Amino acid sequence: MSNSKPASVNQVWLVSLAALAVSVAVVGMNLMGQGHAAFNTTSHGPLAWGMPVVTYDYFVSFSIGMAFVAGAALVFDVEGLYASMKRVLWIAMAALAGGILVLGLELGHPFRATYAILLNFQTSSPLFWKPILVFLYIWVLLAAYAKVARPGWSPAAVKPLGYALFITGGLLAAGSAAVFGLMSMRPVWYDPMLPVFSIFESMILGLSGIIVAVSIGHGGVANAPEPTRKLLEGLGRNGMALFTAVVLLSVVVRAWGGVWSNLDGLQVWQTIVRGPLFWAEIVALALALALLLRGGGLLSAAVLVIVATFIGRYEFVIAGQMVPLFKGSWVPGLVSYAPSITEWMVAVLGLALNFAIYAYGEKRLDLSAAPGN
Amino acid sequence: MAKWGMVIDLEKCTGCQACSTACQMENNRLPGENYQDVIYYTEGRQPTPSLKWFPRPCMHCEEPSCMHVCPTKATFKTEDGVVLIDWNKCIGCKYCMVACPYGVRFYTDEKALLEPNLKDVFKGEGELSWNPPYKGPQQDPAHGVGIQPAGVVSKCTFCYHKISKAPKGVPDLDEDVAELREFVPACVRCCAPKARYFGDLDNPASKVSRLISEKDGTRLLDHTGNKPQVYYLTGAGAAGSAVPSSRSTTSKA
Amino acid sequence: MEILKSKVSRRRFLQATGGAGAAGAVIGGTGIGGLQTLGEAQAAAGDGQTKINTSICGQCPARCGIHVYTTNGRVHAIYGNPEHPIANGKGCPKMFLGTYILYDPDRFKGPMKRTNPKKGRDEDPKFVPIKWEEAYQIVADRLNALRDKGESHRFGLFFGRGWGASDVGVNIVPFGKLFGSPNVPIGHSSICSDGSVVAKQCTDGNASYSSYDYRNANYLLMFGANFLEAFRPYNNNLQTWGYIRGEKVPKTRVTYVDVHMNQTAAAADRALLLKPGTDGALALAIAHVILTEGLWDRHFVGGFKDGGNHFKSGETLDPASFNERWTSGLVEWWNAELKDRTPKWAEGVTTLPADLIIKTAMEFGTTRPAIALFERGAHTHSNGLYNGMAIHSLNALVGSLYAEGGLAYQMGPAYGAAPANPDDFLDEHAKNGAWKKFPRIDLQGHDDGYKLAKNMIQEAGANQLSGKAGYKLDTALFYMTNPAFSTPNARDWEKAMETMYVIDTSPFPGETAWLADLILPDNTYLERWQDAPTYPFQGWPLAQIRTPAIKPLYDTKTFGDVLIEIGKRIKGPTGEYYKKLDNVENILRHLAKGFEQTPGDNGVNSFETWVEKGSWYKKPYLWRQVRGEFFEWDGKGYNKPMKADEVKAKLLKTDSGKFEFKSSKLEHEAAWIAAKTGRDPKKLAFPQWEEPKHTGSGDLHFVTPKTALHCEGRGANLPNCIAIFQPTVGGRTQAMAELHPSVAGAKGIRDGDRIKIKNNLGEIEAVARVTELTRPDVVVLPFEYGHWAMGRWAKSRGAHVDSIVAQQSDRVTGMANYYTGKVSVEKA
Repeated sequence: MSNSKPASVNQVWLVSLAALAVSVAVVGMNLMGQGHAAFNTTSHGPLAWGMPVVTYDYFVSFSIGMAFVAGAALVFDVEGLYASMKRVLWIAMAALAGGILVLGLELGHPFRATYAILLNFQTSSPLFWKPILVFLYIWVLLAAYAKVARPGWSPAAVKPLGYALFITGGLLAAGSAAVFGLMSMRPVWYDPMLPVFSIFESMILGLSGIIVAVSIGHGGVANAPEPTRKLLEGLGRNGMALFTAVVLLSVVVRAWGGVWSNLDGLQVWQTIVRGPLFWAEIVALALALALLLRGGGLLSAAVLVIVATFIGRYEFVIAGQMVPLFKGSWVPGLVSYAPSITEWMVAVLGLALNFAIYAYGEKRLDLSAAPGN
Repeated sequence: MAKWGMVIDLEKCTGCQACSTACQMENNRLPGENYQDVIYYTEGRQPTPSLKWFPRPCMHCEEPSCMHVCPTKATFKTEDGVVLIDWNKCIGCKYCMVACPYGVRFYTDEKALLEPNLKDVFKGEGELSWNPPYKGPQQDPAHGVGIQPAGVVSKCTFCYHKISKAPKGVPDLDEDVAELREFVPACVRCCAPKARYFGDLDNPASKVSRLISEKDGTRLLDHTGNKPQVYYLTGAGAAGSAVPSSRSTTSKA
Repeated sequence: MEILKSKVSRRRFLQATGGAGAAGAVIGGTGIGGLQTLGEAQAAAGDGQTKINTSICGQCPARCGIHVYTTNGRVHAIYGNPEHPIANGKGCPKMFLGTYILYDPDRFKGPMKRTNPKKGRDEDPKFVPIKWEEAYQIVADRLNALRDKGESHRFGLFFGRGWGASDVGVNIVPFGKLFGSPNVPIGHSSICSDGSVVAKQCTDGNASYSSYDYRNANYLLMFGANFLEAFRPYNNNLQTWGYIRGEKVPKTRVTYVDVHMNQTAAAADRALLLKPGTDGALALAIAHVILTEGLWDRHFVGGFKDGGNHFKSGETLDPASFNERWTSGLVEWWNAELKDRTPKWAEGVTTLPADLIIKTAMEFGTTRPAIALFERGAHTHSNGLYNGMAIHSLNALVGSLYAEGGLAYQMGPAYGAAPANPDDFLDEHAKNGAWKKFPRIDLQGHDDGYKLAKNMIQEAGANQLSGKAGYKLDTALFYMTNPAFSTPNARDWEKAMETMYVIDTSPFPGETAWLADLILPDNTYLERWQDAPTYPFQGWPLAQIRTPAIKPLYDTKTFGDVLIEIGKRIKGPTGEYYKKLDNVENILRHLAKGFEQTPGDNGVNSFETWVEKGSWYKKPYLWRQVRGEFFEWDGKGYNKPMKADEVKAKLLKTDSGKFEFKSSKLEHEAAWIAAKTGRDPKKLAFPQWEEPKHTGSGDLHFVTPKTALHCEGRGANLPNCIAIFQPTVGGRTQAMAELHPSVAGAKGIRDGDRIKIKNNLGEIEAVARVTELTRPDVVVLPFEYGHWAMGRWAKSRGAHVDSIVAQQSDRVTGMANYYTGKVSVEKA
């Protein structure tokens, strides 16, 4: 690869910096002025977790997806991805950074959280395990990145870390899903198999992520080095089609069951399936699947998947809280929620940080560094 | 050690909301964020509609899901069976709010239900997120009592600042007993039709135990396994004679 | 993001305190500009000890005993006084809102005078603070000048909530007599519940609300008296309910009559949701069934001479065939009215199924003791008098008057003499001044006005504008009433206030204050001395005392003391009289002297013990009717039989000394009533069915009930009250308009939509709550909101329902017909 970066990298860099500047300004001003009252989450609404939780959770899933890609490459000796290893891990770290930043903006006491969770050892809480898994996961990510960042890195030497990426990423994906899936008092969420779904979701996100990254890094998948291009067009396309089909099926089945069931709490599905967001998610996933199966644009499919899974995550997190718990006449009907400007800007802030870090990597670090042989 | 619990007799409850207003007075609550609400449901059609209600404080569950999900043990259960929040430990993740099946928890920093926001009218400093002139003297952040600091979750404490000072070993905290009056939770003490009773569930001689036994005390959403320490009596002819099976007013279309 | 936020709020705090000099000047969003404070809020500091003060609540006329908790100079809790016989340690939802009233940030901080000569909604009064001495002198100068000119009748004193004029701490009635004005005082009872007072006066001779022995009754039949939301004494009603429904054996049966499903209707055994204004038809049908089924109380009412029952639907009877005991005119009533008032007929009028009417009548007629009670919607129609008389007649038919488990009337307390007798201070002007020739401005008691009414505050504004009384008021003082907002067609009063010198005494901003020339702010009820003989409760005498829990937060003064101070400055013997009174506390000390001779059951025998206990009371009620015989308490029991003339003097105060189904009071005024109403002079003395004359225009009845959280009119500016104001349908930021789905569907209105409620008087906007709780021919919107000058939270919140309620009043009782308007609705 030549050192000359495609124009797309600079564009991403500039746009993300601009977005960062705007979102930092808006979020900073509103949070400093109003605190979390700048969010549309309220106890009397009532809705506790809104857009920031959705965003944070989504970025973590995205990061795990990238880790899965890296792990797969190492574990299964996928040479076509070696040249993208550094890029993939860098993106995984960038996404995680964005997610953690968003979480920090969501928590009431983010700094207290950094020590209070570990010190109090509440093993029954999924949110005790999740940060621990995040720490382990970060550690593995850093270790793997440190190895592949060295010129002439050895795939064989990094292979154990590939397993570690799979294990910690998988556990983190499962743990994140358990935060919702174990909540029997929230029937929309309650699903012991949710961690499995979450892993599949991370996989399509990872594949979409690498496709987008390669497109940006090389100015299009077609311009990528031949092994990478071949891999993405071949195994990548097929794998992503398979996993997208699984995710699409899961979403449909879940909605189907929700609409059918009498269980109090699931009546929210009646509303969801009538809404545009649900159908946007379904159509986007179906379209992506069609593109993948018919040899259409990989990048388009990837973008569709990224958008659809974000919508899906939003619908899932909000829907689980839309049936008000014991509000009677005070909140007749379902809880209505729409993110505030600040909440949107928190999401933009996280996203911009992701892209800025990523673009910085593309500019300053040789993210295409291939292993030596 | 007592296991404090409450009995609410829906045959007597008039739905007047004195429990809600006494609660907001005693606990400095903001509008619409009382630690306990009275919940009203409408069913049926004219000319025979039915209107039902029941008061809903924190259930102070034996197995509180809010406590189990709290990553910092900020939500904890006291030896005398009360579920409290240590504001010094709470990180404001709101997982407990998501995990409470009864919807009884509140986050400090939110859009006000009513403008102008009382918090702006009576501004607070430091530990107090606001400071109304009618604030009570009690302030015990380690037990979630008093005015909230910013960034934490709060909830009904069974008026812990009162009940924790009660003489040890009493079977019931009955407001009609002069020596015990000051130790009775506000929502029980105020209740004009005397629809609420507060006492030791572990003491078989307590009035609450007797009522639960004689009048078939039931618990809300028992299937969640949370095992509330608040029991409802749903005797015939009560206004809100049945605890609704549905927690929301919406149902399948 | 706490860390970020606290930094900024500290910075903001510095900014705010930087301009500290003006800090007290802002009255938030009320729009009453230019207010400045002379007195600063009392500093919150102290020794950490909690003081408990014994006093009485001020948020409804019941005056519950309270314990007020103060620590470090802050009042932070209020609970019921366990030794107070109404409160019994308990509270209604309003009791616990008292601290918000005390610390309402919009309160007036001291006396002020208007500097903007122009008045109107859009005219900032430009109030400037003055000293109390100046304020007193301004008023005294005006009044002395009027008196000197022989125009003392042109001063009016209007008072409202609170139990009668005595709840000021000083009797305000003598001021009129001494100063010389028929308009001192004019109460607000005609926009309250005079309909029931006069209906009772017309039947049993007592111009009063009743006292009730609910705890011993086995059946309660309630018409519009919203026992669990708005009927007094609310706190005790709730206690009673817990007892009669959850403890008492046998459980008391309750049937409730209203036009929408509310808490009382829901909690009752049976809810009868009838067409508005038809309560009287239901009561007549119940009376019909009681008679045809032979269920009347033979001991009280008497019986047919042959011992049988000859009441047959549609058939007249010979009055001579019936021997009446404590009632009069039963058979005449039957012949003139009742014989045709069958349940089937009533079904057609009320829309209630006849079989339910029969069931209710059978229950009421067979379950003793039984009480029929009413107020609100039952009597706020043009036929309110008759509705009330018909309902109250049911009590006579089942013998509940003065019976155990029945109803009676309230005794007064054993007060000592006031410090001075006004009759000793009458000068020539007071005795024979020109003012005596003038009618009251509201034409109460006047042939051209409302001859038989108690008050007509709702007419005073219009009469001021039209000059109908032959003169106009020059100066008017308002105490606990805000007619520029709360009277039907309040615009009349609003305009009237532009034509007079207005003195408002409310501690809070309000529409009357906005139009006032002088503000003499009262203390709130937690800061003042007052006495309160009980509102009708259980009959036996009870006198409560209000004591200050805290020194006034601001430079405000108790209205009673203000009136005395003004009185002291009136020239002549009036000034001397008020100097004798000196102040409210002095008066209370004199009143308490009566307790030395008559100690209360709780040991109260002096001012000090009264203050300590909070109330003086003496049980039992002195009279009781048992199976048609009246007895007086002899110290041990109801053992002393009463003669008919004693009963007439003390209990059944009609011409006949009996309960009159044919009202002698109405017969005396038959000519006047017939002339003014077109009623048949031969028939108008009987309780009867008369179609209500609805006001407004449209297809829906407009009903604007009082909710539990009315809070003595301040609820609209208490955010902690607003948030739970209308629980049954979830009105938590404003009142929602209850609309039946069939109405909403026909108009394309969905739940939560903004709607217009309109009629020939205008239109208001509200948010629709589509609900099955309300009849399809009714739209319900509780009154409370729509204030335009009451405080930052009240501002622009909700709609002013009385702006589309016409000024129509019952010609006999004077009761404002609040709930008789018609409207139509459409999507806004």
